Amino acid sequence: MRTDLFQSPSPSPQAVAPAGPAAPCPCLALLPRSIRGKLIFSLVLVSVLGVAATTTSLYAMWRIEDKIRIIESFYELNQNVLEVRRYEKNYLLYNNQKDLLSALDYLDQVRAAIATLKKALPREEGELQAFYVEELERYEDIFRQLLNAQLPERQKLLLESRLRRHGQEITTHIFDMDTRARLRVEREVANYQKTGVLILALGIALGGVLVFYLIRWIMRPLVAIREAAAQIMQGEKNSIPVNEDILCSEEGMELVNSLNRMLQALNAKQDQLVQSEKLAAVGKVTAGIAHEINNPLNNISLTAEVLLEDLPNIECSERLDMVRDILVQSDRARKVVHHLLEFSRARKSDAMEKVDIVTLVANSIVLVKNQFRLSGITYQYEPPASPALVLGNPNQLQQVLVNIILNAVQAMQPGGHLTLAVERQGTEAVVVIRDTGAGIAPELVSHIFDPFFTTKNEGTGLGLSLSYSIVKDHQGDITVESEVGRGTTFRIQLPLVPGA
Amino acid sequence: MSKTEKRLLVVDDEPIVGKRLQQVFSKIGFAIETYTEPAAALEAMAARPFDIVVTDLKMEGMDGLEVLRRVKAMNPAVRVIIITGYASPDTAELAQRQGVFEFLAKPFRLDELKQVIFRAMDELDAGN
Repeated sequence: MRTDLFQSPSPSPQAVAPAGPAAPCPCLALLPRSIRGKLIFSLVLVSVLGVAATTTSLYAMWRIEDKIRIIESFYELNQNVLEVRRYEKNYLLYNNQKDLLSALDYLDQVRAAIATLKKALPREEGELQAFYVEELERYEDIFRQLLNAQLPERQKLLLESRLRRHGQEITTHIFDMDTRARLRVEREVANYQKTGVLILALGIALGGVLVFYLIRWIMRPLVAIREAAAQIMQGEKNSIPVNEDILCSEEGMELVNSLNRMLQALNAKQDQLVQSEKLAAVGKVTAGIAHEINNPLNNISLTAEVLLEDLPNIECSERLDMVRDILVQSDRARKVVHHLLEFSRARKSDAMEKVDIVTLVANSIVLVKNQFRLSGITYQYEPPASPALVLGNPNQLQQVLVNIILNAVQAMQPGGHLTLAVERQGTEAVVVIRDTGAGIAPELVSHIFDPFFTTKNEGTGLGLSLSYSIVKDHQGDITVESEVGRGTTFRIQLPLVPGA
Repeated sequence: MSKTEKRLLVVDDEPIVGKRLQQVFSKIGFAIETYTEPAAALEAMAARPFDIVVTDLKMEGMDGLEVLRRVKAMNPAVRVIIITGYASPDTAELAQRQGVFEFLAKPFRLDELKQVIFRAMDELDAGN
């Protein structure tokens, strides 16, 4: 049983292997690194300790049994001595030779009892031997002399008084030895009790330590993963760091690696979604973009045609004006195309730079301005004089703005009014987008950032959800206030670049 | 050219359109007035009747369809030509129903516009 326990393959082959090349494991090098290994290690440790404690108590029981036997032997010895003394007393009272013989018989039994005791008490052997040799011999000798019938009366009296004295000495001696043996046995039993209590206390302490470390070993990576997950939710991190908390357990590391792979895949999917949603937004503004490009094109072609048709008859200064018109109008068309391309281009989601939100709102308006006109909506944007710099991906932030503005436009009937503003509030820049549209029912407000939630027949229902996650990625927040029939206000809060 | 001088009103919030059409059509004998604000154009229309109105569709304040409606209300004989950078089929249909003479997509060629205006003149002359 015990050998089995020791041979049980507690640490798996790689369990005791040194920590991977990533970082040295802060846990004890001897400990297995997998949770499975640690559990087996702990169980083996507990079993070994249990066996040790059982063996110790069995040994203690065996020793105590031994002591009880010694006490019993002393009791027997005592009884025999008392018998001897009783016959001694009878002889002294009635002077009967038979009593002497009986006393001698019991003395033989006393010797036998001492022989047993000597074996049981090797440490007391010397004292017992001396007692055996000197006192018993002398006592017995007196009995034998008294057996001699032809003793003169005087000597007989002398012998009798010696017998009495010796008998007393022997009783005292035996009683003394008995008491000492008893005391020693009691002391030893007390010692075993103390040892037992000590082992119990040790076991409880060890068990406590083991439970503490087991929970720690198992919980540490889990807690680290939970905390990292919370930070990822808040956009502070985009993967779970492999730190010492996680390196401590193989399962933890495997879990973190799979989670990180999953996060990567999610990020890639998110980027794809951002891109497709952006193209969907481009689709929505097509009409506006067409209008915004066709107008300058029309101006250019009209002006060029007039020039071509009537060049000789046009005054020189007017010609110059017309050529300038062409240039200005082609510039206007170029800008629209540039904004459109800038907006629809896919960019790495982690490309962060300083972005002026004031300008970004203005640029977003360029993209959707004609949507206002097409939908018969007026708008108002008074950009603050100073820029509001935030750290972020301008492309994604613009997507958020365009998306929310387009949502606002769709929520409004012709005649609606859109108010845009950029405010500084402490360490944050706040973009306020307020429409006079249909509003959102209170029970729906909490769902508008959910993926695939839409109240429109068209659209993917991903626009606001993506906007929300983009803003969260920028450590910002989007809040919404809405009143049915009165309109909706979106607030996009983004942390300002410190000191800017 | 027609016997009588035709009065042409142009409404487009793109000032260049007005300028160029002014250049071209005044030269070929039209009495032309151009406006960038629909409201001002309608005032002018109320004061001095026009034969032909060329209007943009999407403008601040009032759109081309509204202009069409009001002009037609003032004088059903007026020929209204709508020019626009982008129009959905729905808008085009609506305009047709409200009696638009022609729908022209920007960018248009000058000749196209001229042809349309001449056709409108012919119709006007034939009608009168």
